[in-house]
Amino acid sequence: MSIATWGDAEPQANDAYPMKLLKKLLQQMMQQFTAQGGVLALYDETLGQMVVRLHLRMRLTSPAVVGSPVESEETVPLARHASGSGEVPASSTGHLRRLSQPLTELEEITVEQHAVLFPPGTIYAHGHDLIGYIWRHNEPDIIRHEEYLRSILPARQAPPTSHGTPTWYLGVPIQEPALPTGDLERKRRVIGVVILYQVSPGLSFSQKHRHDASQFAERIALYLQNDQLQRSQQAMNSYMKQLQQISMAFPTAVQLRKLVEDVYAFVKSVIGPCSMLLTFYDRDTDRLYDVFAVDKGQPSADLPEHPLVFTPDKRPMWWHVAQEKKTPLKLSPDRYEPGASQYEELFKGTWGDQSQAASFLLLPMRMFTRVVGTLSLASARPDAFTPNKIQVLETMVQIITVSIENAKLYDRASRMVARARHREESLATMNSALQAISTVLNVSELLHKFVEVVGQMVKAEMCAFFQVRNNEEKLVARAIYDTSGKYRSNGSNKERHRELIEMISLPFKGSLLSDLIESDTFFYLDENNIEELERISDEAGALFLRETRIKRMLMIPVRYQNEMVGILAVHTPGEDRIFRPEEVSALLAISAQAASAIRNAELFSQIQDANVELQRMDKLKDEFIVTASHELRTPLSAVSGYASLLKRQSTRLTPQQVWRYASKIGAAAQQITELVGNMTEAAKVGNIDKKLDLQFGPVQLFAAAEMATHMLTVSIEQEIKLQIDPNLWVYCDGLHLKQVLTNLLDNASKYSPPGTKITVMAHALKLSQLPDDQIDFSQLVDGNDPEVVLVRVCDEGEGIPLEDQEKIFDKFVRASRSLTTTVRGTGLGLYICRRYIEAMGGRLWLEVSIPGEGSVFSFYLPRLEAPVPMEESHDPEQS
Amino acid sequence: MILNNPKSAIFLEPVPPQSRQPHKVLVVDDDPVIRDMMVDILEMEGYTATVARNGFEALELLHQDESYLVFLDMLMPGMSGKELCRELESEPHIRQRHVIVMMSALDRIDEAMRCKVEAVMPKPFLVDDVVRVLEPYQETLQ
Repeated sequence: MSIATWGDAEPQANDAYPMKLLKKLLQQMMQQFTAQGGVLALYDETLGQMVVRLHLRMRLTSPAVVGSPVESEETVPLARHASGSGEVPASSTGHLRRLSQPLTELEEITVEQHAVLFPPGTIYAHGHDLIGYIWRHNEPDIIRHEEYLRSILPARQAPPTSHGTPTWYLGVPIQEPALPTGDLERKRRVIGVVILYQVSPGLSFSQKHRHDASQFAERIALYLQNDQLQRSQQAMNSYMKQLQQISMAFPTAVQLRKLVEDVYAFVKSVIGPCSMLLTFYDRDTDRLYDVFAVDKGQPSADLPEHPLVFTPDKRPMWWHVAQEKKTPLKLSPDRYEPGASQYEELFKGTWGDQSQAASFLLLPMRMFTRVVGTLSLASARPDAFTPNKIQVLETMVQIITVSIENAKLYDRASRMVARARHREESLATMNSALQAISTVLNVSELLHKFVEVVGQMVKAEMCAFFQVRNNEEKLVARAIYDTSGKYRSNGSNKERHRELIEMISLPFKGSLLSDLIESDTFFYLDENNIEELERISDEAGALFLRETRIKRMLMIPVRYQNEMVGILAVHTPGEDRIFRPEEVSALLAISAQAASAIRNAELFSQIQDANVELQRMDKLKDEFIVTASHELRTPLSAVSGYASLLKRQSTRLTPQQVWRYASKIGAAAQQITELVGNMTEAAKVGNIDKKLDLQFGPVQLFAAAEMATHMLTVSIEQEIKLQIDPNLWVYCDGLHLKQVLTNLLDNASKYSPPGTKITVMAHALKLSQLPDDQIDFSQLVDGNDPEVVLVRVCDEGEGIPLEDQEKIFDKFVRASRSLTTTVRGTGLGLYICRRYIEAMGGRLWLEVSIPGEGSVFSFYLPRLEAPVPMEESHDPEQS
Repeated sequence: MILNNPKSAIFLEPVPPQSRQPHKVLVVDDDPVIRDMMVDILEMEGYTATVARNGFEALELLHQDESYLVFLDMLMPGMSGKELCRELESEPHIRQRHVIVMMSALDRIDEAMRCKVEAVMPKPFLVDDVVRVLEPYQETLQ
């Protein structure tokens, strides 16, 4: 407060010493030695020189030169007058009051009094002036003023003139207190100098004074040491308090910036303004991160957000200190010495240009045995880092290390919590997605939902599902989700959209896809794979691969148990995206779920189809029963009618009449038998996969046709014409061929008016000459073109309505008007015929049917060369 | 009206009205077996029968100046028995000349009874059924 800087003196100097105590000590010393003035200079570590800290003297009588009232307050009355023997100096030589006067007071010389000898704040180098002289000699000395002027006072300096010139000086060095075990012989360090002086001519110092003064100085030294200890204790306490505050801030305030700002404030309170650099080392990445820097008191603005990253080899010095020695390093490099280049990394870098700094301190941040970083400090003062301060800073670094590690742990924990929360959220999304897809029973709808959900879940711009088809030969796109909307359905024509998408197919079996699928649960296709795939894909597939600009595509096989259902392909066009492990695992999970959902949906649709089929069959069966009962009724009527007639007229009937009626009954019974036989036959032929019991052999077509005709001519009203070359032989089961022909002829007669013609024709030809839709192309492989016999049954009947032309080959189905027509039959005929012919290696179809003009039913069977030349034999019974 | 035994012919009018005095028997059926059998039965019972194969043929005969007892099959291609009855409803002067016996399968007997015919004869039938149906008109027939 009252003492301001003098020259380069450091601003805190006045607070660094116990001024009150020193003043008291100096007063006492003056009293003891009856000195009229006393000067106390203390060694300043920073400057390396002695600085006058206190100057007291007897108050001058002249009020004019008394210091300002503020300063005077500091002065204290002497408790006891030292010596009454002093004379009052003449007013011309001094303005001191007489010592004998009870009101005599001490005056403290202040800075303002420039002219005074040894003003406070004055700096003295070793050997300079009286103070420097005592310092150098390191012994108490008594010097007369003349002697002082002659040999001690620097020549160029004019002697102080005002306020009375001293006559005698007593100079005492204040030596560092001796350690109890210290070497007594060794000269101790001088930590201060006391100069006592007399102004009045009559007063001087004796040799005894010299000795006593030494002891007194010793006392001052002890006081100073004691005070210093107390101070460092206090400082330590306050540091500790601050540190506690810093560490208390954790982990609630984990912001790094806040922490390092606190740290810098603390460091500043310990060593004054400085430069600071906080560096972290990450073992996992083997990188250094400069996270905070202060360049001569100016914090770097954007470091915490954007730390600078270095490899350890860029910072050998740092590495050596932090990771090898692991102890603080204090250094004051002399830049001009050889080998100074090893410190180069300190002079510049993240914390700016530090080449003007006088001292550096590198403090490793130790966490157990691991070093997680360093705090580097640079100060303009060479002595900024005293052992005490290093100790304090080390403690601080220890605390912040723990704090930072805690903060990191906290951060990691909260990140984990956040990740867990995120995971929970994505699980919830996934769950609802799964619910969404597992409730859809329509396969196509399900797949669309599936790709959409997946695309949104991992924020991919394209997601497609390919289904395995055609015995694993290819993968057919079933649903595509893309944010560009290119493959989106416009909603109006779903069927068309589905068809377009399903045109996109990729090869599967034997391609690189099947190889890759074998090896892993998921894989990526890179540009090379895509190119290869493009080459072997069909047009639509290749176009898809090209147009969607695939850089890297994630492929997830969708399996149900061990069976491949399809592949899920996810990517973002033009992006080389690699999905995070948690994304992949989510996709795998949803794909597994989707697999069973797809399977369920497929089963459901199969069951539905089967159900529809069953319902259709059930209806057909009902119709059949109605038809069959209708068909049975007519012959039954004949049987019961004729039987009752025979019974009623038994006595009147002629034998011819009996024979005729009995024949009618027999024919009707035969008809019933046939109907029942047809029904059981249909049940036997039954399902398409049932094997028929066939007896293959050469059959003469003409003979078979003739037999069939014979069976019918009794009961029909049409004429049957056979245009068949007896040399045409076929390879089949003769009995079944006859049944087919009978059926066809019977049908023709049922639907034709009486008196019309029914013609059976046959030709030999090559299989390839048949209509395309009736050729079994599997028989045409390897240049084969077997000979067949084509048989046509033509009638002149009413024809078959267009809507019935396909249905008539179904089991139980008859033309729609069956109940109101004359036509009889169970509706089993054509179904059975077709099954027989197919079982014998041929085909049967309706070639043409024109309403009102007639129908032509055709079939073919494999031709066989006639086993024996046939000329006249028209009646081969053996067929 | 409905007899206890639906297996035999059902008379829907207990007494034949005076105005109905059929002189001839007409058999209308699309099935030649049934037609032949009816002719055989009627001949053995001493009647002469005319036949028709469907409703159109029958309608033509019924329009002629003759009174028939008609054995009419209900289900036939072309014009069915049912349709023939409906057709005749618009010509009561012709309808009232004839007696119609509808031949129908048992499961459609109700349908047959709604056709406003004089009797219904379920299929299959016995000679006795035919005889019973003919009996009330025995005198005028032949």
